[in-house]
Amino acid sequence: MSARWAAPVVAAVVAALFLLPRDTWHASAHAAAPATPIRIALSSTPHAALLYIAVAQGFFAEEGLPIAIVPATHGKAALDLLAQGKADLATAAEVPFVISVLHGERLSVVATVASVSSEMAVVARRERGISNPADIAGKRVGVTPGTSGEYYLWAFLIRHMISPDDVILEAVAPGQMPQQLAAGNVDAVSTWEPIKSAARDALGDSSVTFSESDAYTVTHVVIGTSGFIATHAEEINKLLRALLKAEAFARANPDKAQRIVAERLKLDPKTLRAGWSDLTFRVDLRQSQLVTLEDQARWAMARGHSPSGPLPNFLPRLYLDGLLAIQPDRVTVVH
Amino acid sequence: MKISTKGRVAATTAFLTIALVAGMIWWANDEVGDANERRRETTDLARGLTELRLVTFEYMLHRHERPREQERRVHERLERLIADSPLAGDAQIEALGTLRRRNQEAHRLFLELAATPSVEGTSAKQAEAIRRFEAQVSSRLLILQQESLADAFFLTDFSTERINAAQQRVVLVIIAGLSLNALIAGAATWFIRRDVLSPIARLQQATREVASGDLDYQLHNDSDDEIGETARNFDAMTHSLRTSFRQIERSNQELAALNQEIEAFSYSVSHDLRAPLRSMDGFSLALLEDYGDKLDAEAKDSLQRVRAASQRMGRLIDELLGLSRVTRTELKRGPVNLSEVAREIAESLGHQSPQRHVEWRIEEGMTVHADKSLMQIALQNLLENAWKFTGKTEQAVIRIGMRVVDGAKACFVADNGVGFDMTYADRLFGAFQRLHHENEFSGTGIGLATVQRIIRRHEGKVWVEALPGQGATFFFSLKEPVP
Repeated sequence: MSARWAAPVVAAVVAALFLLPRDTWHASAHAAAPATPIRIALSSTPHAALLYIAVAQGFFAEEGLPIAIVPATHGKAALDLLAQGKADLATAAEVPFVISVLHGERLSVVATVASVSSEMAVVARRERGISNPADIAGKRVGVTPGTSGEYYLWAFLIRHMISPDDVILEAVAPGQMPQQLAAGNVDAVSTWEPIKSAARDALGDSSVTFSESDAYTVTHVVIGTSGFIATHAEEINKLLRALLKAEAFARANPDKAQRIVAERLKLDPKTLRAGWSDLTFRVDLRQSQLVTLEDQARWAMARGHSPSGPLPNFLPRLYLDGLLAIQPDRVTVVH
Repeated sequence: MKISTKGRVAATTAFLTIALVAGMIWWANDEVGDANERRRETTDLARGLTELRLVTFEYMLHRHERPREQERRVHERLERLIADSPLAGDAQIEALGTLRRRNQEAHRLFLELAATPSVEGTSAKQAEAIRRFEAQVSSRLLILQQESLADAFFLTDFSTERINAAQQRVVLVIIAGLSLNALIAGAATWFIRRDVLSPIARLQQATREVASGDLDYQLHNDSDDEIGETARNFDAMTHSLRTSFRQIERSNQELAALNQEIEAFSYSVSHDLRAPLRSMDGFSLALLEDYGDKLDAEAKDSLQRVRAASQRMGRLIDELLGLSRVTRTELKRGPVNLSEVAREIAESLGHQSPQRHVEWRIEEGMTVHADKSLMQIALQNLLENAWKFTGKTEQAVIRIGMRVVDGAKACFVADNGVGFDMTYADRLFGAFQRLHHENEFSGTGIGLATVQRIIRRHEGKVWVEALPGQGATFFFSLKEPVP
């Protein structure tokens, strides 16, 4: 190259570098920097099994997604961590999600990871004259306010045409329920596994359990703030791919999956196995969820968990783009 | 391996490939048919579920007996469809099981909804509980139906995927089959080129070499196929030819030497015989001239007979010498105008016997490729023959012409003379062979032998057709020159 051409070419290269889109620079810088882990607040319940399996089997790592687990006792607690900015994503039942949305939080559901119809139950003390569902009327029932346990009790009562006003609700933390029931401070508790089994075990033969699968199907979902999801679409896609792998793994290797979850949650494998078959681990977003979310919103407003007002539109609260991009047949939400 | 065996192997492989491809296409087609049937069934399921949803809505809105009756019918139909479905595969069986369970749950909830007590006559609290119950059951019902529909669509999608997969398999099988056949065709072409065409080309080259006189050319093909066998036979043939040619050469040399000896002998004999003959004739003539007046008539007649005999023997010797010369003379081929030669001979014969009236019919433009001097001798003999044997014919006609006989040009000399019996025709061309007595028609019996020798030297043939009293036609044909 002659000196006559050298100067204009160098100038053109320098100009081209300056004119490159800024995203290009950011992407390069981002790729070079060590990836920041996604913090996920996980409830210490089998409902978050797919996430525990994905971590244990290295599916997140396979997808190139660094994950940091933030433990939480139950879904509502996990959602609180999300609200406090201590986590980027959380797993929880739909009830705490609905209540948070009703309080104006900008949350979205990334995907459902588990659902169960027969897990929730009302465990009651038989000697308090409770032998069938109708006997619950007029009794003191322990619930954890704002959780699926409370919503289940509401649905249970409706299922048996009992007015919710006919029971006295007592606020009990999930971990305290077996003791409170055994001590007789409440006549019954409405709760989930494994607390349900613990409460039943605490009462021994004097317990009576009412399970009503038609009343409520508990759905556990992965939740994130709308802002985080919008700016981390690629990470969400990786997360979803890892969860789908975990789902396939759990279906193909149920025993190994149970061992992983039991070990992570420090549960007795026998206790876990008893309720495992009732759990459906499936990564999806369903139209029926919208019906449930709206019903739960009506309940939450009726129970005073949120201010009364018009029913919110939950459709934008379901983040469809991720699953639609990866496995569209898992989205049955009309969109 | 023999070429025919290789050919059979290639053809069998090709046929097996085609049969395999056809079998796989048939199997895939069967798969497509089965998947289509499954899709139709799942479509029926989805249609039934949609109808169920419609009548459920209608019942929720109006609480009429008619949608309730319809719901029962659709539920039963769906139960039958699910029960009869032969879907296989873990995911499909699981989805079908879920569908069956949901259908039963939905029907139970529908019956519960239908059995909900009226709010009329109840307290406000009870009425509220009933309304909430209805709302809960309705929601649950709709959720179940919606999820059942999703399952039905999943099964439909699965059937569609199966159809697509089967069709893709058909395409892959066709491509694989075509590729395999192309491979076989390529291998067969390579094989034919290597084992058939190339050896045939070498064989052709060998035949050309042998045709050009190189009998030492050898193929040395060791293959055990048909061409190898042919090549070995070819080598054996050239070996035999070489042996035969050497024998022929030796025979020819011996024959040539023998011929030379015979010719030298006959020439010497003919030449040496002429001296005593000339003496006999000369001294007989001297006796007649010098002592004629002293001899009586019988003595003179005897002397005349001696002279005639010696002169005839002289002619015989001349003609034998001519025959010998014909054999020895080197051939100098060139275009010979037979018409012109014939006219010259005819004119000469006419001068020799001006008292005879012979009609000559000489075809114009007869040309052959031959030795002119020999052809003159041959034609001279043939025309003299015709002239002689028409000597007693009142209106003698001699024709010289050319015609095509058995696809080849043949010249002929025909006369309407005395002819002869064809029984003796094979004797005609021998030396000193005569069919007529010397007193009847004079001659030495050498002329036709000379003609035959000349024609044979030209690689031609001569033959005759005749009838007693109706003349004779002599044909001769010569080897055509190579253009």
